[in-house]
Amino acid sequence: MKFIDRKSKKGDIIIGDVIFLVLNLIFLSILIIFVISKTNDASLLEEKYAKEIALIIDSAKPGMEIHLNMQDAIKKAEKNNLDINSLIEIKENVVHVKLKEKGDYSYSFFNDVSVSNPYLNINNKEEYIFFIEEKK
Amino acid sequence: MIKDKIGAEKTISIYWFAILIIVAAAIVYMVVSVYGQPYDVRQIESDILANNIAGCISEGGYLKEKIINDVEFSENFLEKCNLNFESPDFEKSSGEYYVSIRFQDFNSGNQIGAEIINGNVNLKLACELKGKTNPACSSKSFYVIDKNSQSYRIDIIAIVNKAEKNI
Repeated sequence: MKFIDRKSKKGDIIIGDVIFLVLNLIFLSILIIFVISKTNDASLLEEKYAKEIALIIDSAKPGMEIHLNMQDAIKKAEKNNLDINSLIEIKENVVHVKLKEKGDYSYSFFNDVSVSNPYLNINNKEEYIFFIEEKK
Repeated sequence: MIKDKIGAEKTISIYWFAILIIVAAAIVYMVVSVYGQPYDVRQIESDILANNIAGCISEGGYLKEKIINDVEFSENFLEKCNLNFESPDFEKSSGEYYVSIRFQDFNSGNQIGAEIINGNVNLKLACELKGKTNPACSSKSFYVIDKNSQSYRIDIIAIVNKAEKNI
């Protein structure tokens, strides 16, 4: 009788440990998913690239050809079923970057130059190309 | 004995979850504080603006012609320096940029000609205050000579606000 009691208590400990471990794993998984989702957010990438492109244009001079690697943004756009050929748009002096279905991010630049509409490099599908020209 | 052990383990697990929650809260706080705020690129932008202006008025250490005391240059400063201070992405803005250029005689330190000022003047006042919400300011001073070998000191102040999208 004593032996049976001890066995059942041992069993309780094992079940308790398993529940403890599972809860820990669930907790840590939620935390990791939260951190990854925050760091790979599409709106964050939109902001990063819109500002990066605006700063590149600001410091560029007419005649320059800019090659910009946007691998992570292209992957994100493909995941969101967007046309990767039209992720960047430049209207007047504002850069628009769109990586999700709803909305985009825009940032203006002060350099009064004409910028060709960025297009995807045929030889390297992770790279966008745009030209800086003098305003006519 | 076994009962005591189970009790002790339960106590440890409560403390363990308390620690986990504290660690998780700290990680969430850090992630939100880092990734929840926009990238502040205004300082880089104002530095580029100051450099562009320096490149517009001088070339290879020489002052370009028709810059000092030239009414046409100061009136059409933005056009001459290929600058566009319109910001369509800031609808309610009264100007997100400010620039000023001052020319001084390098030897005497006296100001030569009129100061060239363009943009939102209010930004200059805010620039003198300290704080994260204030505009980003860049100042640049350099030495140039003209074709007659007269030396000048040029002081450029470039300010970028764009607080809405950077703070």
